[in-house]
Amino acid sequence: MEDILLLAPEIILAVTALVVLVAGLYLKTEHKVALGFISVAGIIMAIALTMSIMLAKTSASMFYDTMVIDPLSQVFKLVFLSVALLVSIASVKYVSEDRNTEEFFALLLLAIIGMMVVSSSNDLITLFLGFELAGLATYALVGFEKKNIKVLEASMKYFIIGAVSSAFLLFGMSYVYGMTGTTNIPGIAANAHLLVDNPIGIVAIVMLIAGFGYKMSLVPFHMWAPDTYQGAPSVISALLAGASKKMGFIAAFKVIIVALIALNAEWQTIFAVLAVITMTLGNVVALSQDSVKRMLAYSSVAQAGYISMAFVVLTPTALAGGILYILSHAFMKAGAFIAVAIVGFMILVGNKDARDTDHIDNFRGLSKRMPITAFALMVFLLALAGIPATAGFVSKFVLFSSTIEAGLVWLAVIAILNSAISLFYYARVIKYMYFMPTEGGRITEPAPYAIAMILALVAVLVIGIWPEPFIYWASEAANVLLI
Amino acid sequence: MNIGDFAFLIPLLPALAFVITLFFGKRLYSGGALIPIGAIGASFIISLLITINILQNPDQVIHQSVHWFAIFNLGILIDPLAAVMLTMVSFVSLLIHIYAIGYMEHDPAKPRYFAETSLFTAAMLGVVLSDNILQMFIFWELVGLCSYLLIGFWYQKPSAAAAAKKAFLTTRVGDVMFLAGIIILFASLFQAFHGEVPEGVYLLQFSEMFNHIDALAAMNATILGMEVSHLTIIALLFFGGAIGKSGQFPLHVWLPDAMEGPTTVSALIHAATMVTAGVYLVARTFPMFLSAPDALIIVAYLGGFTALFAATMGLVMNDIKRVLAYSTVSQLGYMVLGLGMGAVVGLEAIGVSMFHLINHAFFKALLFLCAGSVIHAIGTQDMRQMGGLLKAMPITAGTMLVASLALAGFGIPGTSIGTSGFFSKDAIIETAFVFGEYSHDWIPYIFAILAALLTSIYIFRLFFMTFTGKSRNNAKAHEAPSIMTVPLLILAVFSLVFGALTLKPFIAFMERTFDNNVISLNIEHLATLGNYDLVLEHGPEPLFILWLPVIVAVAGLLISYLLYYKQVIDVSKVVSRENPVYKLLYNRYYQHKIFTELLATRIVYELISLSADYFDRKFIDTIVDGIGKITMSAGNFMRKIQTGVVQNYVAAVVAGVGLLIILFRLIVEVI
Amino acid sequence: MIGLEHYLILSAIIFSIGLYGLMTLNNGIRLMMCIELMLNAAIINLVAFSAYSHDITGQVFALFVIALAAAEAAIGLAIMLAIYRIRDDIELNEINILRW
Repeated sequence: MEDILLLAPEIILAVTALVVLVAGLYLKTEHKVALGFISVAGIIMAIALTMSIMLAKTSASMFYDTMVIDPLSQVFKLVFLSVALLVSIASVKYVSEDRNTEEFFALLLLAIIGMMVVSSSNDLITLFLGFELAGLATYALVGFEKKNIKVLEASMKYFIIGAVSSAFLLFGMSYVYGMTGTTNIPGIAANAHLLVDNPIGIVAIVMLIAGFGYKMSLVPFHMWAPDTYQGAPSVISALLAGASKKMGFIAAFKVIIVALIALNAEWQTIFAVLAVITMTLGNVVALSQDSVKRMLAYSSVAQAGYISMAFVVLTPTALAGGILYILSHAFMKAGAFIAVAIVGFMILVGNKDARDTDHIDNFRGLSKRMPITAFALMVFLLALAGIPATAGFVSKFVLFSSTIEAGLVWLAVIAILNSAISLFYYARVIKYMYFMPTEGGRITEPAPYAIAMILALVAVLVIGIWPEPFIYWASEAANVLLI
Repeated sequence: MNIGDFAFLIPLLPALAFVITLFFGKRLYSGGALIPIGAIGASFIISLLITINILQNPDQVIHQSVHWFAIFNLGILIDPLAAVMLTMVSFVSLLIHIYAIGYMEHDPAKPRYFAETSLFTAAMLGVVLSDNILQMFIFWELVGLCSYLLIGFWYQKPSAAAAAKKAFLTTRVGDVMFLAGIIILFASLFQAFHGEVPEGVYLLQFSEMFNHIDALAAMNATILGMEVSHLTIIALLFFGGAIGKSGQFPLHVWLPDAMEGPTTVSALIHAATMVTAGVYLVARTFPMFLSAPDALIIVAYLGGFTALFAATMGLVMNDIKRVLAYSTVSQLGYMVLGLGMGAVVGLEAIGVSMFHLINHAFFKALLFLCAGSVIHAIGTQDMRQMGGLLKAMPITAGTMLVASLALAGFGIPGTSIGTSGFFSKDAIIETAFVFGEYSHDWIPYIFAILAALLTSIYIFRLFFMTFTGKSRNNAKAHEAPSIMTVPLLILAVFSLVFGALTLKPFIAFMERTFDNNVISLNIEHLATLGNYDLVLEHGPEPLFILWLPVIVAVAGLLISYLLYYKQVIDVSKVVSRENPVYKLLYNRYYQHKIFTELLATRIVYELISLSADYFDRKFIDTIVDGIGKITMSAGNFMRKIQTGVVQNYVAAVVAGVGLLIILFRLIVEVI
Repeated sequence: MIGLEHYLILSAIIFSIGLYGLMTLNNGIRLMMCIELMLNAAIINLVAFSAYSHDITGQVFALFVIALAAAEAAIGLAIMLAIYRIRDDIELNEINILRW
């Protein structure tokens, strides 16, 4: 029974979630801040355990081969847990005066468990279960401020499109199961030739791409993403962009690359089309946004396009680049959203009834009012644009050069042109922060927000300056995909 | 303990100074100016000692490298080329920092200023001593970022913020090309190794790149039906980066606008830190250009054209700093032209070009600092408001005269008497002559000579308008404080004598860049790869050719003197007094008409300059703006697809699935 | 004799009805019913495949999905209810503050 210990991180999170939920019943609202600390402690323990399992390079399969532990799953678990850590630290401030604090943290932890299950799953059933667990928990988290119509609209759109996509996903899975006779991922891979040249196979794979494409926010399945990221509380947007979106990628890696590798000629073309449309539309539309969160959302769509290039290139280096990009993007985007959350806090301090706190006008002269936030946000934006010495540059470099190496120069050219466009809208925010006059005085960032943001900042810079270990683990993870 | 072991301190000290000044500057004397000055001073001393070491022993260059990640490294390479650049950058930057104590005295944001200039210097030093092109690119981007912050230093001014953005985005165009070049280079090298890179080999190190030029030369790509060598593509993409940073046509548009920052920043950008990076990049990767067919010819033409084009622009500007800005563009054009001459003279081109770069740094920094003194004294940048400052500001005027003489290139050929600009610019012009002689392509030479004439005209126009004649301004001008004049005097001395002292040894020293213990290349072999016929020995040029640059410089001075010192109306008198022939042929009225109105004003100004100006403003700006506008409106259109109604989103998902199935069917059919 | 194809065609029809409803209806509750239709169509598929290939996995999968569908309905209803409290209706086509 020592196998079960390999799932200790998930178990710890589940126990923490239950403890938080029950303890919340007996605590007064003003004491509920302790729940945040419990969650943070639980997540830190889970991170430590996951890391020790990863460093030992354990490989195992358990529960009748429905779950596996390998470098791939551990790397992704660390991505999810790191984002969860940032979000839960920041949330200590965000939900500090809410009487439903326990629900918030319990849902957050459950969402993370769902994502971790997906990254460990080796069977369509566990994968779908984890996918839905994470989905259900995040629907509720997005709609957490249930008196705010904007938040509810974001939640409603997320829910409807999410449910439709799960239906597509499930329908596709049912065909895959029907044609191959198994739900086990290696089993499907062994029988995948049955799907080749079969109309049902075509329908199945397109439905699967649609289902995962919704989480990955690939155009045209991305429509919910800008609305939801904009409407949701900023810390939850950080969770969605940093973790939930990455769950779509790991699920797609497992089902499409591992299980359906036999059909790669077909889906590589599809992903090539989707990647080009996604990065172009995301970047072009982001240019004319006035809401910083919406701009970040479109930028997130565009980044999904870059990451999808890994599916097209499908060499070990490209997949490693994609995984590295996923890791970097998690920190850059989560950090940027947390910085926006801090600005929202600043605006609300000045005016309790302020609306549209993420409008770009609110970023005028931020360098004067909150120099640390302004600096951190500038670094995140530059990282997203791919300026050297940040995580964004390293991952773009690995991904784009692997694309050229594989002979797909046209794709790399489109991607490089796109990242040149993207600089315009990132620079616009920097211009507002540093070159515009402001009214209003200096405001100190609340400690939880500041800690979360600085952690993300450190991560972005460390990956940018010393990427060696990250590239190593990304390659280890990529090797699992292409045995 | 070898002095080379301290090389890493050269960029590190200014970078540390940046951090300290940024956080503690407010509490220190003069906004913490002394910390960057101390740090850059120390960098200068280390660089100088290293240069002296290498000078004595050019075989032993400094090369250190540590593993970074995957197949990349971080490292330091100080060969003759880098050593000279390091010394120049740290020295000029040091003087500018000292001068800035006086110039920025009344600015409340001094700590930010000194922190940013310090980081700027650190980044540039980093570019210079990188031993691999990826690290160089990282510092290169940092230079760009610092220039953005410094040009927009007075961000309250909308024009400054706009100029900062323009500079950042325009140079980014070049940077994207540079990055694309790096990626293609990397992919090609990776291919040359067949994907198996041995431990300890770092592909993007300069030495490694140069060692595999043969393999790269064998690779060809087909573009628009033409066989193009990978080397040519890479070299031209690198040159694209240089075009952006060094303000070559057509990406020069940011440089004149970059005047919105403090004058000291302009001096730093124009003389020491930023614009020379592009020239340095081409010099650094020169072996790749030399072995890439056609690349050097393109470099030469573009450089020559920029030199001439920018000089015509310099003629019509009324803002003192803009004149100097176009002058920089023009002089950078000379340097690029000089590099392009490598197609015939080989490595000598680097020596010639770098020599001009160094000398230009001295006299251009001096010109800017003098202009800064003037602006500081009378509070305007418009030359029409200036005049008669000679008496009030003797030191500034004197040093400015020295700098102007150097820029125009005054000296006596065949002797070692002359300003530094004389030796370096004439070296480029003479090289262009050699190029013409052996390749029968005289266009670069003609560009260079015409630009030399115009250079002399515009710089003396500036001098006469500013310092002579009647004062056109009510402000009470006064000489700058000694903290500002001392750097002026030091730079003036260098502008006067540096060229004379170092010409021959300098060029020989530069040629050792590619012949030492780290990089040792067979130049003739590389030139064969690039289909260039090198002329290694070229005798002394005809006397007339040696004198021609000086003659045009004097002619320029005379024209300016007549037009701006004698104030146009008197031109007829002067001409008639000195040329009795004209007296006989024309009456005064016609002389006046022809010489001033028609010849000088109409033809030179309105035809050439204004059309160039028109071309610059309308054509290039329209293209740049147009691309931006099209993208923006595409974005505005596409965002309307996002209707906000959830049912439509479901429809999009369904449409997406439908279209993908159709696409899928098509693929299956095709396969 | 009812074959596997009949079940597959039935499920495809139900799935399409659900999709059509999602695109055309306005009331939030109806949209959720359409989602249920789509999920149940998939469940029919799973059970049919399972029965005809004598493999139990599909039915296990179906059970999990039924439980998940219930949870999803609960969350969906909670969101719709919260919207109803603020707006007094759940005509989803009129909720479009977040757009462009």
